[in-house]
Amino acid sequence: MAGRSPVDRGLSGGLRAWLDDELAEAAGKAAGGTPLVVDRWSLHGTPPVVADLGRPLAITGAAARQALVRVLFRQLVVTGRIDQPFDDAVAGLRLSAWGGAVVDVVASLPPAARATLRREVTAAGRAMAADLPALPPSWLPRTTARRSAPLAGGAVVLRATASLALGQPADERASVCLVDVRAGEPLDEHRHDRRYLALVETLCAGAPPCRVATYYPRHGHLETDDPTDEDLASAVTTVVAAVRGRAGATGAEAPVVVM
Amino acid sequence: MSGQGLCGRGIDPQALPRSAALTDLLLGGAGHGAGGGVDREGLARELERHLCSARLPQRVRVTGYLLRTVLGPPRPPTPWRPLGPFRWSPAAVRRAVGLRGVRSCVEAGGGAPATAVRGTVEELVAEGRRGLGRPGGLPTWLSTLATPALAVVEAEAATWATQLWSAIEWPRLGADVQVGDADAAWVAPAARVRVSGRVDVRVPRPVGGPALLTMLPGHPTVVSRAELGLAALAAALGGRPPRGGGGALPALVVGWWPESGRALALPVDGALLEETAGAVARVVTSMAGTSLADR
Repeated sequence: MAGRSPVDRGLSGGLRAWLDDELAEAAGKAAGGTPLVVDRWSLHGTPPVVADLGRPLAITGAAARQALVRVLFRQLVVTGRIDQPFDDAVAGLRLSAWGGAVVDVVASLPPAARATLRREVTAAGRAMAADLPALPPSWLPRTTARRSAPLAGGAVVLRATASLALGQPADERASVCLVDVRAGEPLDEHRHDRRYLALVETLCAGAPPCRVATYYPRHGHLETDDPTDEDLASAVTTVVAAVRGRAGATGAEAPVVVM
Repeated sequence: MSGQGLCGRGIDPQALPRSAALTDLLLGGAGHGAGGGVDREGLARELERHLCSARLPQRVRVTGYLLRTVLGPPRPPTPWRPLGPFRWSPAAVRRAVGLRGVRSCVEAGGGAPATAVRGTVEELVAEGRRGLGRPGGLPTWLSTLATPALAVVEAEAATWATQLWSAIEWPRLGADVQVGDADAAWVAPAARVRVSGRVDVRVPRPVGGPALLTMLPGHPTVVSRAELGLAALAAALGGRPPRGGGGALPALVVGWWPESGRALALPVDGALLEETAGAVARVVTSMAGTSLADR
């Protein structure tokens, strides 16, 4: 605990005021009163899964792999075990929100692609089981921990989901650790994702997380950041640019990014 | 969005820990209790008359979810399944299982919600396997699930329970705090309408009626006042009292949105009851003749 940063109680409010100011104009352009939803994928412009009401989901193979690995990770955190990684992941995903559509895509894959996916998910499951220690319940593990930060009078909503959140809510010191599981390769944009997760956590919890990590089971690798004020400011800039781009370009017709 | 725009009290965004601020909110504030002097019988008659005029072809259960869906701000398109017959799912189960887990922790004076939820799931599965659950009930459904699917259920419930457990300074609420089993309902049989208000925690207070806490997804919206008012309305209109909760009408309803870290406390007064009754009437009117009935 001694190494964790004291919480600057004015930080969250300052970031919120900054975002409210910057987003007010862009939010005003969003038509129909529908909130403009921002999540980490919309920051990169190439969401893995795009949903548009009344149209079928477009789910890529990478998105399916990501969804399967995440549900396996969740199972591991909760039960401490994975038996048949691919089959477990499919069974778990079938019951999850959105999961049925992903399972359907997996089932429709050509045999070779399905075999590759099975191999990748199995390897990831084995790696996670080897890498992840049993988490003490006293760390208050929360899987698929969602955050939702309304801004500009609710016209813009920042959403983020951590694969895992640990730790008591903050008091005098930052105390929450967030983990994002990535089935693929490490990418530069994942650093931006960590900053975005940290920003949304700060806005909602009133304190930044003490650590944000991206875990890559494929490599048994963990990238970690202890968010600084500069990281949070960088995330604000990224969010503002993304919202201005989306509000100006497509308004309420913009696709909604999910997962 | 901090609550002031919704005509209630929120918590200071800079307050840390949030659990202290939320507990202060539950224990503080006067509230009116007994509906702030409103003519509750008259309100019940007026609401029932209005609901009857909608001539619903099927029964309707007015819930917070329905209020959000019908009266809430437009939402981004999602591929959620449209409203349909109830089906068990991890999302549908998390509150029921999570509440049992939190209740275990409260009764034990501590513990870890994840451990309590694990025990709850195991108990329910065992009940289902012994054939003790009713057909189609939660234990029966859980007993049919394989380990990976049960893990998803347990994960959802454990996250939900942990959010509630860490939101409150429980020892300050006293021994008579009631977790779960406090939902309120009022039925207007002639109108085929049932008004259901969710209550996750019922907090007796030394002065005035109890405070009711409800944990909600996302963040507060313009419809949150009415959503929180449902339990107060159902209780005020003579609905069944909460199990073991005595007959005192709530003085305060408090919403807690853990995803956004927001809270909203509303005194139960005539304005809240009348506003909520109006929202219920608008929902039912808008549903008349639609396929949403009986959902």
